[in-house]
Amino acid sequence: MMGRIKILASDVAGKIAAGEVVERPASAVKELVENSMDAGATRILIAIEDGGKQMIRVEDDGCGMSRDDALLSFERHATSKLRTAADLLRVSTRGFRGEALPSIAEVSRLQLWSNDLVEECGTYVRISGGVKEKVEDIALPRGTIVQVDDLFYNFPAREKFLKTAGGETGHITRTVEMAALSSPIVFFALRSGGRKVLQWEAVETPAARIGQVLGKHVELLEFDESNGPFHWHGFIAPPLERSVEKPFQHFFVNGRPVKDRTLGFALRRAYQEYLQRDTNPSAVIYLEVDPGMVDVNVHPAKTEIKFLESNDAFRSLHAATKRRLGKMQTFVAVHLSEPGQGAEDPIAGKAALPPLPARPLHTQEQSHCSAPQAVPSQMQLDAPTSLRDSPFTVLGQYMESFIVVSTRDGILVIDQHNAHERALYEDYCAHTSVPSIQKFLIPLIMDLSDEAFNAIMENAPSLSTHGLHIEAAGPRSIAIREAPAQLGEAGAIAFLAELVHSAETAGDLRAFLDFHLLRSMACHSAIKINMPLTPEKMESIIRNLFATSTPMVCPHGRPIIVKLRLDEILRGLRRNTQGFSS
Amino acid sequence: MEFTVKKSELEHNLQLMQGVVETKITMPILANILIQAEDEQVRLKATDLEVGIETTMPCNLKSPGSTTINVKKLYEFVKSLPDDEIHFARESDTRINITSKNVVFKIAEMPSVEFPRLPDFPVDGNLRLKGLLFCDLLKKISFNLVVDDKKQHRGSLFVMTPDSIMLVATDGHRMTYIKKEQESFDLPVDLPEYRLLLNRKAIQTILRIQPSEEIEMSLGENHIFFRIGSTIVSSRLLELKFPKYDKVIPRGNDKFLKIGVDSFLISLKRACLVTNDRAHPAQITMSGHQVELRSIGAEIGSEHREPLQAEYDGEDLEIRFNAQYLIDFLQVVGCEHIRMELKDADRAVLIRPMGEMSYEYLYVLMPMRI
Ligand SMILES: Nc1ncnc2c1ncn2[C@@H]1O[C@H](COP(=O)(O)OP(=O)(O)O)[C@@H](O)[C@H]1O
Ligand SMILES: [Mg+2]
Ligand SMILES: [Zn+2]
Repeated sequence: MMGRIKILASDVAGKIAAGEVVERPASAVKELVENSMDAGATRILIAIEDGGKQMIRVEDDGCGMSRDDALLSFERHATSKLRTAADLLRVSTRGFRGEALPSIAEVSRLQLWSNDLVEECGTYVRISGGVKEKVEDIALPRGTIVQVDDLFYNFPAREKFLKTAGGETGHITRTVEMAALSSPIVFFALRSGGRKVLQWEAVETPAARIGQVLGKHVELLEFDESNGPFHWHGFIAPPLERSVEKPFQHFFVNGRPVKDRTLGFALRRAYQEYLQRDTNPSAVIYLEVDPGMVDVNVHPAKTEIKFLESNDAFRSLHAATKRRLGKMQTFVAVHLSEPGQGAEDPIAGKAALPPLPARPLHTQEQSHCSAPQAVPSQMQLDAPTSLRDSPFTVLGQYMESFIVVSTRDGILVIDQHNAHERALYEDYCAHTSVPSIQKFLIPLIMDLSDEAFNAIMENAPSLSTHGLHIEAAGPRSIAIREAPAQLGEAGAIAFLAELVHSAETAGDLRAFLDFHLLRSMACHSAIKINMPLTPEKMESIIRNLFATSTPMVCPHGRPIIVKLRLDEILRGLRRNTQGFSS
Repeated sequence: MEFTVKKSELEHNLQLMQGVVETKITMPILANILIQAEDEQVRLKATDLEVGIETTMPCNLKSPGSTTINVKKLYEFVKSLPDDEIHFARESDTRINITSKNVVFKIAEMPSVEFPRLPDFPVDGNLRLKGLLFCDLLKKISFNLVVDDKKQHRGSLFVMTPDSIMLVATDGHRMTYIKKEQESFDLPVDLPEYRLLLNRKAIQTILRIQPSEEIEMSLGENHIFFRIGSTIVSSRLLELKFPKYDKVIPRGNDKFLKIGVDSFLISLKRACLVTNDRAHPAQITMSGHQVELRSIGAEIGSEHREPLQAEYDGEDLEIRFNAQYLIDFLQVVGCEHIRMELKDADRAVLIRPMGEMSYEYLYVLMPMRI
């Protein structure tokens, strides 16, 4: 029987830059787990001791290896995954360089058990510091086990740089998370020192796996879209401030976790245009693309990729993300507790409505999906897809800050400041004409740090076209001589402070000037909370809000509307829906 | 503690107190007023730790005592009661009963020992000012005070010499200056010069009190005090930081516009109907003897125009103002005509009342960019 592994022809080997494959225990885990996935495993069990420094064991039920292959796998550039240089342009497996096993074996005491079930029995190999010590036959089920003891024992220079066991375990956990996100249909378990760290059953969809890995409380907007050669399957956080607790951003290209600036930037831009604010959105994005269109061989760790047409990739993801954001009609929905659940809680008030921060923010469409079976589906369909033109009645003002509105399918509680701010903002954007500019009788003097001073003075010309006329008034102070009237004096100061801050973090100010300025103007001219309003004023605020493109989120990304749906109310009050259909 | 007071009087006083209490409360006790009943009268106190107010009203006293109650709630209760006597009595250690006819409110109290001590009105060194006159001066500058309390000059410059009383206020866009000669105040000749910053809230509180013939003023170590009738307003002295006001008053403006206050006001209010919430750009075009007012709307295409009845003397000029800023001044100026002294579209205009005035009153206003 012919072995599957071939030594790479020297031209192929030359194409693969030499470099360190194993930097730390987590990189060994990454390579071993990738091998298991490439072998078609459906269950991968990982065990570590002392952060992987003492022991790493990866066990799979993949295709296994013959005795020949098992021995060959420790030769450098021995791989079953590539034959010729041309193959390198079409890599669809995670491994392809044929250097992981030999590299790990070089710096540890490694044992391998493997059986491909083609031959009668399996193979056992033991290698220490790259030297084969033992090879023998052994009875085994199909699959492979690789155990790495004393990693870097003969490489003290590297050993010194390792973190504490806890730190390394953290790295390993993240590595396994990435692998798990990339392959939902594989069962993963990680144990450390005999204790379970994580364990995820095989699931059918990425959505289900994301739920397992990132936690059920994270509600994401999903899209599945092909354009051109790109097929995107994306999960993005709703564009609300702190819609996820811990930010994350993961990209998988053809199943391979990658870091790529282009993709991150595409997301950022899409959110920025939508939100008028610079954020790094939380997202998990899967891209399937012809392997010929990406170069994966940029770095031995294989986490970096290069798109052959990176502009196309940018545009494609940017467009897909924006389309998804544009389709969103979301509210922050309040969910009453499930029937029965409240009864156990002795404090009635607490049971009725969980405090908001403790519960996740839900988008309306997602709460559709999770709506209980008991609710007739017709009622959900009746929910207006757009607030524009939807009839409403202002019921009143709560706490002199929130406008309470009834609509056909529920009660909206609307933050009066955020609502007014959104409407004004869109107003200002629509008339991109120069704002009204008030000159100062007494110029406003601000003392700044060196960097802030330089950043502001460098941008003085473009600030001036935006209505802020600024002059140097000393080595590190500026004088504001004119400012948009809507800002007022306090607003101008607040705006400049914000600008100074983004000059420090974002570097280039010009791109954000528009967003910042119009947003600040809207914020400072909008009515505040803790302010009584007449019914007419409330009515006009709501009407204007509903006419905006994005009535659910203010230009700063804070939610505007909390919604209590009729079906939730009925469920909470244990009433059936008869007589309430709209 | 048990006493009875007149509803109308209490309601009025509570309204005053509410103006002093902060909306953003840092200490819960500051949302309350202190009520002290003794010697046939009730004393009410409120403070935000910067400005304090204290007033007394007659009562029918059964037993003396004191309490603190949330002023907002108390005011709402009292306002809702019929116009009659209101009876206060402590029901338990933590509750006060408020009764009128057969209506009963029970309200939680907080111990009065927690209420901060207000500074005492100094016994000597007091000045007597003509009340109506002084309040008129305050009113004429009060619209120009900085609203932002983070700002250093959050109040009006107040200078008093043996010869005169002067008040200056500015919010950075405009400045109001008023000066009244001494003889109308009968100030003592040996008066030392007072020069201080009068807190915005103190000014607004004084203006809300029923003006009396005489206001007694006194300067303590850290506070300035005003006694108006049975009410005392105290205000912590602020660090004296104020822009150099005399540098701002333009000299040599060579174009003059004389205009009637009432008709100008009506025209400006019309102009504001097309402008948006905060900026009200209104353009005045003076060409030959024609003067026209035009305002540019927030919505594209909306506009307002009308000729102004005015006398103009000078080269042709077009200048833009925030109409609201002109309205603010015209509403308090208290004369028939004003005179606007202009230089060009970029420099400050000086506005003053015309005719016989018993004081010097100036309004310096910066235009908007055209
Ligand atoms: N868990 C495994 N199951 C089956 N085959 C394996 C496994 N791990 C390694 N191999 C084989 O050993 C070869 C060498 O592995 P490696 O050194 O990681 O190189 P690469 O993955 O780049 O091919 C692989 O090509 C594969 O054929
Ligand atoms: Mg490999
Ligand atoms: Zn906002």
